[in-house]
Amino acid sequence: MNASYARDLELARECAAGDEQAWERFVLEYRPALYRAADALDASGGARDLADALYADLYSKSLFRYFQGRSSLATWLRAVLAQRYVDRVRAQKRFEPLPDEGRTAAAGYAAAGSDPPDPDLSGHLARLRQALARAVDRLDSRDRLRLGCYYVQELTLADTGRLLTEHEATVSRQLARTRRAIREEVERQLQEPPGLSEAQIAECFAAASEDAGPLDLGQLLGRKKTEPDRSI
Amino acid sequence: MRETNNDRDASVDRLLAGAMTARADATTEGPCLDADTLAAWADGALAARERAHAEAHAADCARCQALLAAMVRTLPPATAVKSPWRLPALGWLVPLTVAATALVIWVAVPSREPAQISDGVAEAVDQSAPVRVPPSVAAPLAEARTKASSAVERPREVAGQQTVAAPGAIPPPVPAVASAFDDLRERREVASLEKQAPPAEAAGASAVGGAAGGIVGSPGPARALALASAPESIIVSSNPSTRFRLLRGGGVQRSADAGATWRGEVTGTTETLAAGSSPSPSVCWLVGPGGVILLSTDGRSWRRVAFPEAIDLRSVSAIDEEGATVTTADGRAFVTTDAGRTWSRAPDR
Repeated sequence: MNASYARDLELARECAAGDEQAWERFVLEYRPALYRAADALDASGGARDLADALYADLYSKSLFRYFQGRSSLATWLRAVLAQRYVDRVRAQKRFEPLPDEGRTAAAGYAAAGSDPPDPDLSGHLARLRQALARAVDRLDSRDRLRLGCYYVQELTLADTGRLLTEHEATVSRQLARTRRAIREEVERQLQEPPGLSEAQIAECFAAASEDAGPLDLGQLLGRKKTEPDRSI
Repeated sequence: MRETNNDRDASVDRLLAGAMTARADATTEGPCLDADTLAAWADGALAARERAHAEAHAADCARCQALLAAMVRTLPPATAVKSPWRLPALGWLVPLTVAATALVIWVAVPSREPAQISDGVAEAVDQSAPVRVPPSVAAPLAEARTKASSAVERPREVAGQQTVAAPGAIPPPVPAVASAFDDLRERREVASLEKQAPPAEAAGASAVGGAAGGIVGSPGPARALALASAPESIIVSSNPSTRFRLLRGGGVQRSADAGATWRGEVTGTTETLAAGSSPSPSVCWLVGPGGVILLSTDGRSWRRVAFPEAIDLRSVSAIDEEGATVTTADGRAFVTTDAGRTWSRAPDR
C-alpha cells in the first residue's frame, strides 16, 4: 500500500475509534478541501450542506470504516461527496415535469407552420438512428466512455483526458476517429438491402443534422433499464 | 467526397449527444462503482483488470459517468496528465529533438530572400531588421507564472502560435535554438500570409490571433490596424484543427476540421469582437469593445468575464483557461491568473 494511503488509513481508523485528537487533525486537514470540492460541484454553495452532512455522518456513524486505504483519504471523501451530490441531482431530475407529451408531432408541425415530413424520409431517419445506435453499441467500452464523458457529461477534452489518463490532444484525435468509424458503420448499414441510394443517405444525414431529436435506444434495442446498486 | 465525409462526421457529432444520453440511461447493467473504487480510479490506484472492468461498466452507466465527471470537476488543477515529453526519463530527448528540427528547417528553407509583398507592409519582412513577435503582452503573465511555479514549460502561447502540433507535444526548447527556429518560422509565416492576402480590406479570412491572440507575424501598426478592422477574424488554436471565426455582431463560429466546416455558437453578445486567443482546442478567450471578454473552456459554450473598465479591448494573449493578458485600446495591459475573477495591471514595458 502507498505509504501516504497507509497514514490516511491509520488516521481514519483512529477517528473511527473515537480518538478526539485524530478527529481534530482530520477536521483541520480535510474540512477546507471538502468545502472546496463542494463548491466545485456547485459554485452557488448548494453542495455545502452535503459536505456538512458528510462530516456529521463521519463523526457519528463511523463512516470511516468504509475507507479501505486504496486511495488517499481526500480523494475518497471527494468520491463520497460526489456520490451524494450526483444522487441528489438525479433524484431532483425525476421530479422535473416532462415535456408536453400530449402535443403530437402533427400538432407540432401545424403550430410551427411547416409541412409534415416526407414519410419516406421519416422511415429513412428512423433507420439512420437505429444504425447509429448499433454503431455505438459495437464500439469498445473505452470509446463509449470517452463519448459519454464528452457528449453527455460535457467534460472538456482536458478533463476527459484526466479521467482516461490520456492527453487532451489524444482525446481529440480519438473522438474524431470514433466519429469517423461510426459514420462509416452507419453508411454501411444503410447500404445493406433493402439499401438506400447514395442520394437518400445524403438526405438522411442532412435531415438528421437539422433536427437530431431524442433517441431512445433502450426502446430501439429492446433493453430493460436496471436499477444500479447505490452502496458507497 | 472528403467534404461529404466531413459533413457527415459533423452530422454524427450532432446526433451523438442525444444518442449517448439515451444509451447511458437505457443500458445500465451491474452494480455501480462504489466510493472506494471511484477514489482509487481517480488516484490511478486501480489494477489494470479492475480498471478495465470499471471502465466497461461506466461506459454504459449514466450515474457512474456523472460520478466520474463530478470527481474530475473537483480535482485540483495541478494534477493534469503529463505529456510523455515531460516525463523525466525522456527529458534528454527534448533539446536534441528541437535542435535537430531547427537544423532541418534551416537547411530546408530554399531562399531567405524576402517575399513579394504589398507596399504597406514592406517593413514586415525587412531582412535588415529582425522580425519580432508582435509587441507581446504575455511577458508579465509569463513572469508571474514563472514566479509562482518552478515549471520549465515554455510559455504556451508561443508554442500555440508557432507550431502546428497538438498542445503538450511541443517540448520546451533550448532558448538559443528556439529563437533561431522561431525567427525562421515567423519569416515564413509572414511571407506566406502576405502573399496570400492582399492588405487591409481583403484580409477578411486571414489567420489572426493564434494562441497569442495577436496577428500572426505582424510587426507593423498599419497591418495591425488593417486586420483589426477586417470583417471577420480567425483564431487558430494551438491545435490547428480547431479554429474560431469572429463575425460581425458578436457572432462566433467554431471549426473542428481546420476550417472545412463551421458551427455557429451562442455568445450572448452583439458587439463585434476584436481578437481572441486559444491556447488549447477547448479554451478560447475573446475580447471586444466596452470591456467585453468572453471565455469558453469547453470550446462550445461561452461565459462573460467581468473586466474592471468599460474600455475597448484590442488583444488578448492566453496561457490557459485561468491565465490571460488583455491589452486595452490605450495600450495598457491587464493580467488575470484566475479566469478573470481578479485583474491586475501589468507593469509598462
